[in-house]
Amino acid sequence: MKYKLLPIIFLFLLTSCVKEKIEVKDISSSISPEFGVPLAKATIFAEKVIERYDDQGLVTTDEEGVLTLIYQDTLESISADEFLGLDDQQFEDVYELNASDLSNLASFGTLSFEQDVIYNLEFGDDRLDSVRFETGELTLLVNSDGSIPLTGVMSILDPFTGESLFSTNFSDDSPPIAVTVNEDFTDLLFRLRSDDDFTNGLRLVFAFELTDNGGTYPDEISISFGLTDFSIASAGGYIAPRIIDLDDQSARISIFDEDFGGQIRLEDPKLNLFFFNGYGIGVRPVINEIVGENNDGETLVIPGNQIEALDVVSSAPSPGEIGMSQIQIDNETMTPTVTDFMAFEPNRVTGKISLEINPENNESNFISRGSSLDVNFEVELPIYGSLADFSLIDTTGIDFGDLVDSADDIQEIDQLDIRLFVKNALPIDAGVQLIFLDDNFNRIDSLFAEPTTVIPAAPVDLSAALGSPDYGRVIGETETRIDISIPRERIDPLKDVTQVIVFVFGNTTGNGDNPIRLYPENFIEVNLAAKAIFNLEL
Amino acid sequence: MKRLIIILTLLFSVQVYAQMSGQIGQFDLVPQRIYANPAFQPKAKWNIAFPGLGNVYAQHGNNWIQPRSFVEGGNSVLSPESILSAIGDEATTTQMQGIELLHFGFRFGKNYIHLRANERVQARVNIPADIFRLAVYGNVGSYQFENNTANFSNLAIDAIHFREYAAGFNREITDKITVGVTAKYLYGMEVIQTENSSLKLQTDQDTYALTSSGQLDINTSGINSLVSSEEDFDANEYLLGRNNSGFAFDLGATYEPIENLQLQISAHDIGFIRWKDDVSNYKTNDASFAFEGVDMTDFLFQEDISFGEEFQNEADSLLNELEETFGFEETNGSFKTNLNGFMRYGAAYTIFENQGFRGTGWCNVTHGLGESMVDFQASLGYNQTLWNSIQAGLHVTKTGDLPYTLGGGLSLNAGLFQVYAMVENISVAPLAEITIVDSDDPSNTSTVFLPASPSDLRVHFGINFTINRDYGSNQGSGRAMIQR
Repeated sequence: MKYKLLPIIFLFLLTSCVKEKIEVKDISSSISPEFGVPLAKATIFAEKVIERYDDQGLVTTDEEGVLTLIYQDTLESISADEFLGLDDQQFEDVYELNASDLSNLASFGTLSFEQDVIYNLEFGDDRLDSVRFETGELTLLVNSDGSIPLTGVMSILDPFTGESLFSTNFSDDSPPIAVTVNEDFTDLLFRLRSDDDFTNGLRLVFAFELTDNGGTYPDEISISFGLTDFSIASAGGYIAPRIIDLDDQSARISIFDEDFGGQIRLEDPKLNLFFFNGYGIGVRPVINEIVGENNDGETLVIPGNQIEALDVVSSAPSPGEIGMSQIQIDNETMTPTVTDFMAFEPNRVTGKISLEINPENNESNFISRGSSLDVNFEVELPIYGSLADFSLIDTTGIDFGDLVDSADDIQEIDQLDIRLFVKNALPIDAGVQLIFLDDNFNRIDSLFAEPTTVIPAAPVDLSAALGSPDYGRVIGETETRIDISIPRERIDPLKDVTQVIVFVFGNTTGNGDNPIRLYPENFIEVNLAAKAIFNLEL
Repeated sequence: MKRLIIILTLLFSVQVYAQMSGQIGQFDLVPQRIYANPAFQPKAKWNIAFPGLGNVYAQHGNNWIQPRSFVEGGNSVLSPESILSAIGDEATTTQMQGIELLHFGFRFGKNYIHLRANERVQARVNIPADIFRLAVYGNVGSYQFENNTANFSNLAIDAIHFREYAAGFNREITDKITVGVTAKYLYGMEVIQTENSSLKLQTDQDTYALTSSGQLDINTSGINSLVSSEEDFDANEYLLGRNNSGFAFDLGATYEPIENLQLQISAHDIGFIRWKDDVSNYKTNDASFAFEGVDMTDFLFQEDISFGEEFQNEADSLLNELEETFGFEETNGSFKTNLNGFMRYGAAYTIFENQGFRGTGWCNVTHGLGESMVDFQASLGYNQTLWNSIQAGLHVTKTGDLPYTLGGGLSLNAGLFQVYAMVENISVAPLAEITIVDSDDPSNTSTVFLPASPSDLRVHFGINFTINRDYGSNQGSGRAMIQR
């Protein structure tokens, strides 16, 4: 019986209350969670960085793909008239009636005769085959010393085919016999004869008719023919060499408008002249001098004789087409080098340039008003070089009032940490300092205790050959995490901040000792985040 | 009124997650043993439960309340961090209550038939520990989340309230084999079903960029009218008129391969409820969203625009995208919930038996079926019967990852009156005495008592009327413990 009751006794013992003693010496009812949230981000490619710094220059890439700043200010267009410079043309001629003429007039009552002449147009040394005038006036004066009526026709003929190109009638039947004819010869094509006998020969035919009305017979008929106030629409033939001075060609290099405060060296800058030649005539640019003027008003003059002679600009292959040429002045063709010239940091470069027309003395040329010779001057600055100890300072307005008030509303925030996480694939290391000021420019706080280089530059390839596009190319990126702790006691004073001084400084990779190349794919990614450390009582 | 009914049903419902105390099947004087296996036959010929008190069942389970482990280093500092460190990957709390409204059964020949009605409530709240960690440490605090990701997967609330009308029949097929079945009609009243929960939040440790993923889908029925103050409560409609129906069944068999040994197998709660009334389906879209801050790339260097306006526009755009990603889309389609089906395997061996005394050793194992939330559980116990009037049992149970627990039960019978009570985790009774010492004045102490290990508590009690309790002994071999 005892044996059979054992399980029940066991059950009773186990269900009796057994106390476990725990001693608690410290109770903490507060928690300090730390919440991090991203605030903003931006991925900025090198092109944008440059545009941000200098929005005047055109950012493009050169033939190797290196980001390049282009500054173009001047575009000059040279007209056909400036090429030829033709003066008004005037010719005088007299036709004397002989005894036979007078006899025929008396016998038949009328007399008809023609005068076929070629006048040499005075176009200097130019010997043209044809001219089409854009504007101009043809003036014909016919005078007779008799009193009988005179009628006639003046024709301009193709000197080779005799085809009539232009004709005009004249008539006068009351003494004194004097006829003036004015004709507009706009868009009129004149064919000219230039050979051993004639130079710019214009063939004219005058046909006269005298009618006997009982008046006095003339002894002579005088002719005055003029081409005035004209401009050339087109011309063909031989255009003799000459020199034309261009207006000063200048380019403003706005990247040098602000002082870098450091040393900049551009390894391969160029001065470019672009020619868009719509004329069938070659020209050669001649640099008289290049003048650089920097931000301090100082000038640096490079005489033309320190620049190698430039090539001839090609002519248009045919009317309506354009012959394009780029004339480049680089380190090889100028002394001192363009690199040294740019180290002067000129924010304006002026080229004093002349054009040598038809320098190769070609016989066959053409020009036309519908075309032009356009000249463009530019400074090309590939971002291939180095920058040492640059610094930039700017001041901007800012208002932290709302932000600080918001922070005041959340008293549980013990500390606010601002984080910058930067991926830098730009070959530039940089530091930044923000100094917060009040209305009276009194310093309230600053981002860092001391300016510090906070974003290291991306590494670049210095093992490639010096002339290789890979030399100085970014081959990696750096990651930097910057935590700026702002305890609560630093937050409140910020509500009085109205101004902030932004101080940016740095170098290209390697403290500016090595040249770097900047490519479009180079970027910097900035992530701004905040971590709030709370102190919460449960 | 309606809230009162809900509260009452929550407090007094039975059979939560269908897993009752593992020992109930061994109490052959208690008619409710049939819950353990529909092939079981209680010993009495007539069995009638006291209405509403035949089987009152309450269960509480959690995997995180452990006073000892809340105190760092065993005995010094009580802090949110120390409490949190005691929680595993998930803090799971289950609360299950039920009440047997009616129960009537009788034996005839080799057969036993019974009818019963139960009100059943099952509730589980599962909170991933990362939610607490996020609150206590933050996303970039001293706690290092795995893969920098706060994992909210399995964040879930599941609750169901339904009524079960059951009719059971079993029969002794041979001297060694008995089979039984219980068919159930289910009447659904409320449900919250977390259908899909896989939210995660990853924080980049460099940029604090936040990336979410996953989704959260929740179905409810009967909840809108429950919380709405606009609708008039209709008790008849609530208790009997809802159009949420389902069916389920239990199957079971016992087999005696040798004398005194019985093997048991049964399947329970194989069924479902289709919810059609007052249905809401809340679904997030795919919550994949990456927030890296306001992207200023496009307007940072533009001088012809207002930076402030552009920043605001970009921020607004992000917020809209965020709302679209996480906004719950509500639909009203019917849905189905399965009961938490489970299998039970058992064995009982009569160690000794003589006139008036019987001792039985037993064991059983249960496990869930399919997506059932029923945990694996194994029990080993001993039952003692005295004169068909007293039955007492003691057993050890291992449930899931929880520690071993000790359980026991007692059934007292006097005439036709029967009262019984069973506890699954006796060790919940021992208390932890927590003494809090004032750090400024060590002589100043205060003491509180908490259950030392309240991880799993299951209590049954009930009152029945049993008539002719010797019927089973007279019908068979007299080995009452395994008598069909």
